[in-house]
Amino acid sequence: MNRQIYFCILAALGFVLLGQVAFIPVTLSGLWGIVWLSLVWRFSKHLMNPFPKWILVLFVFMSLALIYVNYQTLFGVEAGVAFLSTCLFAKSLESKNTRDLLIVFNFALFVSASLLLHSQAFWMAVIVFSAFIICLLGLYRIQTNLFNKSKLSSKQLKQDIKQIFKFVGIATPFFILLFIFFPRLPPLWAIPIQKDRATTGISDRMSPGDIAQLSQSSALAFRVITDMYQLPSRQSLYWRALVLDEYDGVTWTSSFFNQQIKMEPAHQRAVKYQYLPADEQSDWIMGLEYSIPQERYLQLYQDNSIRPSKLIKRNQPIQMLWLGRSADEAIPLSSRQFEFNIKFDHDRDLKSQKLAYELFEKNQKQPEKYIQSVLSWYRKNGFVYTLTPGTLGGDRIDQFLFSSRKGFCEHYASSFVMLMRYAGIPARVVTGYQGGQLAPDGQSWEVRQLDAHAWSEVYLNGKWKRIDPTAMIAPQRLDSGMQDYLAQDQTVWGDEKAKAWRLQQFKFLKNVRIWSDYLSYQWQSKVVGYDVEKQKSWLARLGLDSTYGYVIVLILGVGGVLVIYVGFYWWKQTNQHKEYQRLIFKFERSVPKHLHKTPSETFSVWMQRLGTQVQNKQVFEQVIVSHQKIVFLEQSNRANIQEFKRLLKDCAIALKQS
Amino acid sequence: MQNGFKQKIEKWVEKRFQVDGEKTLLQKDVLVFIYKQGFLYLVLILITFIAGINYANNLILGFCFLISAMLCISFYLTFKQLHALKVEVIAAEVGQVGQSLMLKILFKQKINSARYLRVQWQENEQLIYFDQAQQALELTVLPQHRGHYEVGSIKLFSTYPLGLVRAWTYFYPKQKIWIAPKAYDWQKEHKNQPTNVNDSLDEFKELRSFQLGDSYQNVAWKQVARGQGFFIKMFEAQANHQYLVIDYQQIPALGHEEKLSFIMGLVEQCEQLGDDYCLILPHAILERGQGHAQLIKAKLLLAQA
Repeated sequence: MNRQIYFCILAALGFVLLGQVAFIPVTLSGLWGIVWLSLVWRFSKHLMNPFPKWILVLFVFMSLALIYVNYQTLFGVEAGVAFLSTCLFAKSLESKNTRDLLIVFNFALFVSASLLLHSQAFWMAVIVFSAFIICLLGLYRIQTNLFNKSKLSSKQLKQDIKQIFKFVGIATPFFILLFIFFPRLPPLWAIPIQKDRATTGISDRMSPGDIAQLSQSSALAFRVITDMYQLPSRQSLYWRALVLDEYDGVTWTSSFFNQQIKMEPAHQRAVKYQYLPADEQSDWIMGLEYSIPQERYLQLYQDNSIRPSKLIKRNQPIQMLWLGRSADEAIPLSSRQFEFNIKFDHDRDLKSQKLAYELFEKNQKQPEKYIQSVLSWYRKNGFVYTLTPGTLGGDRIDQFLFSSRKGFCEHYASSFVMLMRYAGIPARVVTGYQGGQLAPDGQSWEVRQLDAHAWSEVYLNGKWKRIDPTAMIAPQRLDSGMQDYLAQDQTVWGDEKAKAWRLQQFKFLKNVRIWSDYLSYQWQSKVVGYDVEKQKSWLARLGLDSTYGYVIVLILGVGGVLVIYVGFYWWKQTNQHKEYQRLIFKFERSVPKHLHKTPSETFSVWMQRLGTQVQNKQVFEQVIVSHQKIVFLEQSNRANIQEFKRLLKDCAIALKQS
Repeated sequence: MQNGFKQKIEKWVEKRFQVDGEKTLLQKDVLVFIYKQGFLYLVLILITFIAGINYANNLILGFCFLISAMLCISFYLTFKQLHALKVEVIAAEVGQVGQSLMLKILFKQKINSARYLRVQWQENEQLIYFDQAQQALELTVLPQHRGHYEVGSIKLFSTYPLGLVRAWTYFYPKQKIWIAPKAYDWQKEHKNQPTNVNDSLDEFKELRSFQLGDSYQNVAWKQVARGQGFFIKMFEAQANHQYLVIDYQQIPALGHEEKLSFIMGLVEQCEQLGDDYCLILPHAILERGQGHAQLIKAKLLLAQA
């Protein structure tokens, strides 16, 4: 087997492996990694013969066993891709002749395409494209190596890759045309979607005291596309995930009351917006408070949370309706619900209970007044907003309110809700995101994981009223957004000496993150999310509405590209000749066929022959002299060329007249 | 019926791709179609297309379009390997049984581009990498039978760059090739010393001017050097008026082929000895003479007999 071709196999396997590492179990990637490394080692030792059969069987068996253990099946998307990769590795291990190699490269193309089922991110596209180039290189080398068996050298590699890129370059216009105008067909049959483990910053439980140090991820959570002027200002942008109303002294969870479906009547004053989750399979849709979904598969629940009723993987933005600022309507609470929302454990956090009782008494048991005094109590008692509050144990509310006094939104929301409940006012915690930032191009609004937030709602006058105690402690958090707040306020980062470094790191990463998210958003919306609607708008822009539009544009486009190529080719051909040569060709075409130049004749012999056809030979002699001047004396300036042209014309006239 | 149809097609192809001397491959001469592994590639396109549609995965669909575009481009690139190529098939007029017959194929191109060509003739296949203005390829074959030699088709094809598509064309040389009989080895019976008198003898009878087909061995270089003219030395032995008359009827052999083989042997011996000879065959007569031109004529007559 040829070393040059074997190199392509190794590279293709490497890319296939690289593309999967993030998605397959560690054991599997470890096994394949070992196999790949041993192939590379053998390659460096010039060993390219196929592996013994028993190793092959062992490898396949182990891989399949690992796949089965991890996925409980050999089919489905993820297991299927892993299965295909196993076959590819096995085929590479046993390949020994050209036919095997052909199969390996074609199969590698298929496997690399299937990697796109894992992710359609830009980086994955880059990996798949690299694998594609390598496979083509392999096929190319199989062909060219029949002719010359040159050594493996980086120069050869560069040259071959250049060739491949040239071919791909020629193909690109056709590819673009196909991509834009090829009709997007509906699925031929239903396909099961992978069962998934969504991982957003939001979870269905919350236990503030457990987190000693909140790590701030600047990963994108979701993106909202609309005219931002129609939405409220940043402080009031509360993106709601779900309500947590059940507290066991440690953890907040969501009760069954929230699991009921809510029917929302149509609203007049509603703002449309599009919601594009970064993770397509998240459990909640974080709508702007209060929003209703416009998609059939999304369900609105009693706590105003929005969840998909079935798992659908899609790359399209979700259509949403924001009901506006005045949407908070009166909601009657059943007595059970009322009881539930003032429930607390009487034996726990006694100091806090005492505080609540005292403050409530002081405010003549008026809820509004009581809320204000609680908030001002927070303000006056030296509470600090920090991401490194340390853990709490025992009576957590007491500890937070009376000893540590350091915490982030969850601590404030949680303690505030409990202070309300101690006074008999129904209250609950709401989680979600707050704020966000305009994308670099100003066309969309980005909300990141670090914008995750928790706030509270208090039931007043038959309505749930939002109260955000964090705003009392760290108002800038809401005004300028979490990103800027983190960048400016250094106390947030805790007391360690390394905080300056971490701050710098954060600022740098923040910028990198924003730009990479922006690029991936463009990728997502322009390439991955290119669908029937966008295709239609393209055609509409070209003034074509009919379904035949696609076909017409496709044919015209391909024809156009071909014309351009042919034109370019012709131009290149003609440019290879000097101007006087072109003049001669033109002259030759204008005379009858028997007077054409024969291959054995030189220009002067030819002209002399032509001269015998007419009486006035002078002009032919002049043309010979002029030709000699241009060709042999290299005086091909404008004047000489012009004269040559004129003389040839005279010759043609003389021949016609004879 | 089916056989007849096949033959008809073969006839048609032969007529269509007949070549007389030189031929420049134009659009109508080059056939292009998907090659063996190209079908595997087609399956790949189909699978990725279905996967792209069913999973509503734009990138897989894009990948499918990209590999489809590559296939289309392959058609063009492979076609270009043969297009505008000037091919000249040169074959010796006469061959001989048991001696290799050479078929020379001359490739020419106006613009120097790299071409990866494969030539298939009879059972053998040759690869040539061609990036100059002109390159020759020599194909040899051992003819087994006397008489008219069927050159058959020469297939020129290319699967460059990716092996997905093959462009090919046929050549059916118009030129007839005749195969002379194998020479009967007289040396075995008559242990004649090869009398190579020509070189050592400086005494020649007369000089005559050079004729096409004369052996260079007999050129009178002395006279050429003096500028007296291009002469051939005529030696005593040659100049004498004895010559061998080879008459078909007189050959002591039974079969036709055997007789011809004997005659071939005699002709060769005469050529070796530098004797004149003439041939009398049932269908033709060859005038007295010797030298390369005479030998070719003799071979041709024997081949056609």
